[in-house]
Amino acid sequence: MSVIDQKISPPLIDPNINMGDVTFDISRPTEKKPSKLWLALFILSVGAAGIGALTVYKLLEIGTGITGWNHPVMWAFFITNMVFWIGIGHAGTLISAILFLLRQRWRTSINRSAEAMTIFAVICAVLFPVLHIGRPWLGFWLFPYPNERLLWVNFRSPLVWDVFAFSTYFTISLFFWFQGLIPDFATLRDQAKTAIRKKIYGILSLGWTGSVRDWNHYEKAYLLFAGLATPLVLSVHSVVSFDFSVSLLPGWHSTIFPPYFVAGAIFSGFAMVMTLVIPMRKYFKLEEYITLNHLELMNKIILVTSMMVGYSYLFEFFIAWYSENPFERFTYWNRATGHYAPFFWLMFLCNVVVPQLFWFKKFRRHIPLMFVVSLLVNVGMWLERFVIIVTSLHRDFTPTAWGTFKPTVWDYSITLGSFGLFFTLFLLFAKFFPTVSLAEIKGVLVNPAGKKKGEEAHG
Amino acid sequence: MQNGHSNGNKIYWGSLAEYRQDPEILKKQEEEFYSKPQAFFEAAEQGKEFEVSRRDLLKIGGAAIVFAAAACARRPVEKIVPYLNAPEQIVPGKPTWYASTCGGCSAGCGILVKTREGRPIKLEGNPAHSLNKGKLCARGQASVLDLYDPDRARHPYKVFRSQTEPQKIDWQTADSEIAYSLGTVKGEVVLLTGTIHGPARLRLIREFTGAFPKSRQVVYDALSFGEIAKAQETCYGNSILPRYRFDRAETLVLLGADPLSEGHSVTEFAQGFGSQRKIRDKSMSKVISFEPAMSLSGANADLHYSVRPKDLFKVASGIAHQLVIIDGRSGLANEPSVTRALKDFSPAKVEEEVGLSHGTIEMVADGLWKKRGKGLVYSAGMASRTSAALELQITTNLLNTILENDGQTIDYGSSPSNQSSGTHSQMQALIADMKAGKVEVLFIHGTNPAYSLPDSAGFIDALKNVKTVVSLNDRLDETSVLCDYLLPSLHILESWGDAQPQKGLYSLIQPAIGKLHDNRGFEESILALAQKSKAGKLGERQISWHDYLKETWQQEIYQKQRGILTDFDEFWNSALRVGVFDTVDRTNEALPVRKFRVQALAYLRMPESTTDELGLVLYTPAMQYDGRANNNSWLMEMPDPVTKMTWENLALVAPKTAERLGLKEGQIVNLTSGEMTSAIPVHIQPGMHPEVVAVAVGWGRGKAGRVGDKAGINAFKWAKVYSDKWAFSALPLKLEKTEKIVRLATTQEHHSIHQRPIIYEASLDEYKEDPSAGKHGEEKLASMWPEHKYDGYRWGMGIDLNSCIGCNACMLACQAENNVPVVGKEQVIRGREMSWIRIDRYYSGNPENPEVVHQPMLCQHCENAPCETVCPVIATVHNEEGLNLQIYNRCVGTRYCSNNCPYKVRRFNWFEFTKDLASPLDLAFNPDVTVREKGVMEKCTFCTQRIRSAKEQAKAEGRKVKDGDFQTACQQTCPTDAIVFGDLNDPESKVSKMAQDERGFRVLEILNTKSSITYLTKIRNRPKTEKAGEHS
Repeated sequence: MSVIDQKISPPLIDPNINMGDVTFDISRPTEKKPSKLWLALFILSVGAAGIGALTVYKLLEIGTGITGWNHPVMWAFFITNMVFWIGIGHAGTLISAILFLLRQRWRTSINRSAEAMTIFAVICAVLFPVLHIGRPWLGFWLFPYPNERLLWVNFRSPLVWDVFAFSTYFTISLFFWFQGLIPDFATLRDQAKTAIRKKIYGILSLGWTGSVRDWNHYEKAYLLFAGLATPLVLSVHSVVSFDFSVSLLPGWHSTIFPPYFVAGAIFSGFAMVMTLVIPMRKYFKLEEYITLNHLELMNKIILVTSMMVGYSYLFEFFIAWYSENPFERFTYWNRATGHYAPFFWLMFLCNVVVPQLFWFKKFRRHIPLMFVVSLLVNVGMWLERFVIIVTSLHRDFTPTAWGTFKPTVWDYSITLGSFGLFFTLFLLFAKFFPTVSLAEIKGVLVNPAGKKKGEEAHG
Repeated sequence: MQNGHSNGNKIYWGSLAEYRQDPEILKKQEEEFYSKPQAFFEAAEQGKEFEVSRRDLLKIGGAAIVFAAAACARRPVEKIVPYLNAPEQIVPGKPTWYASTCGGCSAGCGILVKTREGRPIKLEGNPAHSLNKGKLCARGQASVLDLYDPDRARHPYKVFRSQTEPQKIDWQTADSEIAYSLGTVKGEVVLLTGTIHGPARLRLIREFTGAFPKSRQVVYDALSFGEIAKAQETCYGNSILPRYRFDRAETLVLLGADPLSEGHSVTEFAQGFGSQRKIRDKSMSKVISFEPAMSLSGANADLHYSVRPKDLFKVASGIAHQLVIIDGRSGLANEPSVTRALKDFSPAKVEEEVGLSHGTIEMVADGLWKKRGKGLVYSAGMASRTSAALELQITTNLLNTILENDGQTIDYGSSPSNQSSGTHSQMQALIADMKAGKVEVLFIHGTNPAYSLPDSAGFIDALKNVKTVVSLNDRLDETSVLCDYLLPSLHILESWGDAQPQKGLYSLIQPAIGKLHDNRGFEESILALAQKSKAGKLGERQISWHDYLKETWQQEIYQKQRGILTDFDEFWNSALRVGVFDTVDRTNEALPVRKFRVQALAYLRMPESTTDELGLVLYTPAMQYDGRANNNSWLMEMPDPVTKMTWENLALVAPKTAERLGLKEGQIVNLTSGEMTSAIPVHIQPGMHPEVVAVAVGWGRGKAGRVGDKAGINAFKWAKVYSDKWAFSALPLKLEKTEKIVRLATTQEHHSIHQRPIIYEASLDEYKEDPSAGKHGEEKLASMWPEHKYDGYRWGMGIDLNSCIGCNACMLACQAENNVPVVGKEQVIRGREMSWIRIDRYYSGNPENPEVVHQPMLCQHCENAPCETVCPVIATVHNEEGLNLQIYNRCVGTRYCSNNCPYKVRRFNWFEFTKDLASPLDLAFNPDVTVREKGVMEKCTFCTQRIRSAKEQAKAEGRKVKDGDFQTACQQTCPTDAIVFGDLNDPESKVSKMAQDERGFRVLEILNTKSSITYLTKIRNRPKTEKAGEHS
């Protein structure tokens, strides 16, 4: 099957690579001792996560007042982070599920890392709705569990929809990702040089034998999960956008939010994939698997979603003006010219202007540039959520209630902590798990059984 | 000495019996839980072997585990110990009410004190009292917290005049030493007090001072209206402080005066003022204010003019000139001395010099004349208290005589006021005597001259020449630390006493709680000292203060009643129960106009002109007043009604001045006037005269306590001392900018409505043409949701924007009633104040002289509540009576409800605000209302606890709740009756009628929230053709 495909479309992977090379190249990083660079990054990430943990402690001990929240800005960094992280997760699911259903074979290089990124991003995201509430120890009340007081949750509330969306998303993504990893764990198990590696990878591979029956189940399950996960790409972030659009606040109450947010999620997710994958492919020497073509394809997606996001910005402003609603008009005018205007314009620059570079093939294939662009896009997307949340809240209907939000050190520290947690998990993943899907890459090789390329190097 | 058992820092006592250390209760408590360990320790002490059986060991071991586990619990377990000997009248869970008199200031309003389990928790105006008729001002509402002030002195001190630390001393020693000084006195004994008007209290003071040679009482109030009495004497021959009838004034002209904040009878004035503002028969009062800054009264005026303080006299004279010389009105037109005095003040000249538009004086004079006998010109206030304050009062009296207001709105004879008897001249004479060494023993009570007098008055220096100085204030305040002894007096809620705020109107003061600390009432101290030093007649008697009080009433007051009660004890009990004894004939309250002594006009002269660019005007802040209660955190966090600033005073400058001098909001400037320079932040305040910088007095306490110290600066020290008076306005000023800018603790950063459908207003003429004038854009919107059904009651509220003066009384009442926490300055800067009801103050028109409107904003209890749909845990729901309920124990704190509230009335507990509450402040909580923990949202509940009580009461009586059976806390105290609450399903209720009023609208109706609160449009009594602000 793959050979025929490769004859029609250009080869995704260098034709000289065979299956053995794939196994060797991709499993080698997991077998080496951690490099100094990895250790340094790991320590930094753990440190950042530790700062986050300290913030959580302070939050529980002293109260939500340690942040900059006030009347009226009752959501700020925490919800921004929540939407930011859950949005990032969508790219992974899109690559894993939607591109699978659309038979985009080029996804095979990046889908493992992207899906891992999704899991870790969702973990980071899920922490925030728990931590930002006033009494987090009672957060479980948001779940509709049977109880003596015969209490339900309020099904009309978008926050309850969030509970379902996040838990569904996390569960499906986790299972999907894990299921895809089973054959790869088996490979690592079979190559294991130490007893403990064999034991751990053995447990993780759930007794995979590589028989036709196992592969049959694998393919069927993969298809099933892909099918289940696909609607999640659209629904989860739509539900998150309902947190805002279901309310009556000008700047939030907008029907464009679901597609706008989904596009934005994919946009920021792909940018984060780029941010992770570009250094990873260099330091783990995976350039032949995650090729420049792969990167260029992702940049095209970034460009498309950037334009969708830009369209949404412009359309929102247009509708605010066209509606003649004084509250709407004021909110958008204030967004562009008020207290937080610099953040708005920075967001616009990063999200709409900068990605336009990708119209040019030269820039699409320029690795340092695309790395910088991916960072800027994430800054811009973080700012987008911040601008939406804070500018709409800080000046809404009643002028006497207007206020400004000033973040405190704890707002910054929890944000840093979430990045710390994310990178800690990702670094652990990169170290101990195969970062490219061995099984699927082998499926797109031109000469899977050809001469071993790196035969001299390892015996 | 703390009675009760301690739990860490808190002192709890389960009953009065326990508090009084009744032996049976103590024994019971000792025995109840600690038998075995006690026996063990006793055995150990006696050196005996203590036998521990296996059973005991297991018990103790089990107890140890339980205690260890209990220590891990989040909150300590508190036990409720029921009364063994229950005090009479206390039913746990039911309040007991006592009638007494308020001590927030010396106005003497009658109050009803609500006590629960022996603790006063709420004050309400006494409806039977003719002075305040059931209403109470903001400061009065706050005064209940002062009872529980942790920084009150708890025992007597020997003070050493700040040479060393004060030392605790017991009463016997203090009494002996002071009695010795009294017994051997050769010089003067002086009682320096604040205003006291109770007949028994005054009699005691008289008898005490009468026992010593050359002795007297000197009355000194930080804020006094001595120039009124002096002008009354000069112009009419009687030195009185009149009773001002704002309730009869259909036209009111204020000259630098702020009766709604600083008057000597604020609640009465506010009520009167408010009653005239209501629209009745398509008419309302007209209020015109001339003042240097924007005061609360000025903000409520129909027309507001910014004039320099020294020009107020010119304005008054100009109006008089118009009336007498130009229009030839009144008999005084023929008096040559009158025309001579007024001739230089032609309206045109005055208008030009003062900066008023042409025709203003004529318009004002005309309006006053049209309502002669039904108007009032009132000019006594700190902003008008320049060195020419007396002259201004004389001219004001002249005007009121010309306008025949004297006797109509100025009651000089029937029931004049005793509410402010302090004068500068008395105090200055005392200081002179002190300096000269004539005063040997000085007692100070209810006044704080070391704080409120400028240094150049010489009081602090003069103290050195007084042999013995005894403070009978309630703490080691600025004055007490300079004394020899502090004999701390009681809070008024712990005291016996009486009051006569206006002639013929008597009330009693009775304690609603026993003494919290080892203090002694002022009168009790006086009696004790008199008895110990055998001073005069008083010293020979062994009588308690309570008996003395009762005796005085029997001898002096009892006969004044018109023979209804023949038994004195019946009379006494009735007076205690009702809380007031009114002997004033209130059926016919008008008196003839008095003859004006034209010789008084000889005092008048043109005020000195200044070349100063800027003049300093000191003013009285509505919340802090004279600074006496600055340790009251409720008051400190209450926003100033005009500036909306909290926790400090500021230098107010006009927008033009700020622009000219390059000043930014919050910029620190160094202000110098006279001897003192202080650094103070700037606040840009619309409505001020550009040559005026205004600073509030009543701040900058140094020894008030943990809350009040170092808040703001003491502007009293800038008062200028003259030989016979002190001036507080038109003071010389130098302003120097610094580079430092600080964030100000404001509760409202924005002041404009931005043309949003939040407030509608119209002019009176427009209203006359169309009662719904001003409202626009109201649509009846369709709703997706089925309507709520209200089969029983349906609670709603109405708020009249014409009546609301923005005085904050409702905010304080709500805070007291609902245990609303205080957050402190830092948190207010962050925007986290917790008020459930707030007064939104909007400006409109010209920023240099805007129009102002106050709008109480609280939870609207919307039928289509946006908050209810978004709470994930159903912590906010709609009940079957129309209330939006907040269920604290279900709230997890997602705060989505507040995001979705367009009125932003929801408040979140960002911290555990009650965690570090100093004892005994925790006694002030209302037990009917949950104290919220951190992480929980709260908001106005329409006083659901009061609704429930009323329903229970009605049910017990087998009937429905009637309109007026109960009131929400805000409604109850509002002096102007701006807030009306009741059953919308009852067509006869006041609130139903208000909801039908053509002036009625709902805020942000376009959002279809279907609010339960109807606001009535603000109608201003000014011509509709005039654009706001163009008249100055």
